[in-house]
Amino acid sequence: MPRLRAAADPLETARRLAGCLREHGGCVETPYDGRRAAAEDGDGLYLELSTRTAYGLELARLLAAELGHRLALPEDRVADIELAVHEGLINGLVHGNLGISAPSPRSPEQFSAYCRRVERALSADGEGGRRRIAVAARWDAEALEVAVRDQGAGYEPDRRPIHMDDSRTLGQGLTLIAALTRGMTVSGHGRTLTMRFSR
Amino acid sequence: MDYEIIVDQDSVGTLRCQGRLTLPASGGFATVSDQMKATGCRTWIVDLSGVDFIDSAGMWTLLMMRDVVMQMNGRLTLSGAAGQVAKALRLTRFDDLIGVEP
Repeated sequence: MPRLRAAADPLETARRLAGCLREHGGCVETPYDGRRAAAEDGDGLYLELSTRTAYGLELARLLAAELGHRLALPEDRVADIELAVHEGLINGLVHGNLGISAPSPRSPEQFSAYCRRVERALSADGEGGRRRIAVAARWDAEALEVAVRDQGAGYEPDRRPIHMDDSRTLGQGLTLIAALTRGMTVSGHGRTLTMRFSR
Repeated sequence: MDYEIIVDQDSVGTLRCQGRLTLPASGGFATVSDQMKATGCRTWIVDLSGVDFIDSAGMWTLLMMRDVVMQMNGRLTLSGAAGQVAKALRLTRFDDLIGVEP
């Protein structure tokens, strides 16, 4: 499996990532801890990146575009996949790997402080930025499944409303995912989110 | 997020957003809100026609903009949403929370 080395320029890293996806079917960022990728065989894509690298890329856009190309998906399905995977990635990266909770109450000051906490956690040479996020996509003739797995502390999933509730905090990503997918499963004590899409 | 603030002769403010309205792109939101307040406008249109992607954090920033304008006893309306942006707003019934115009 080819290895991706993150470049200083996020756009350059994105170009290399897109190249790995298109030419080989998967990529793992170096240094890699040696665990085998779960989706190396069969029809699938597997990516495993550090939090720091993944947050700086438009990873969901790259992945959705590549899946659209490989599976000849219609444009609106590609857009649904991009948003659902993006929300899953942000949840895993920020709330999972960086361990940063959504700001509350809603205010520009709280939101700015939240964004600064994220930036600080990414720029510091801390554990959160080094934690991995893994994305595994598998498909057959009828369906596509994308799983996002983080290395955070996890949580016990609850049931969420399917509409944007004015009183809630930032954590509306799962609401969108539920609306965009054919189904989703949270497992591994909240560390793995699996999303299913029709083809 | 790239943006531009335009104030017309009737003191209606337009915030014209460009690009992606996402968490990684929203770090400068406090500056935007300060600039909106500094105009003194109470009627605002957020023009989303240049936005090609929005996520839940982007929608949250729109709610904060609405809060800022409501604190000035004003009104904020969204316009120009298309494609993925329009779909995300529709899926979350966003028009229950903020006025949405074509």
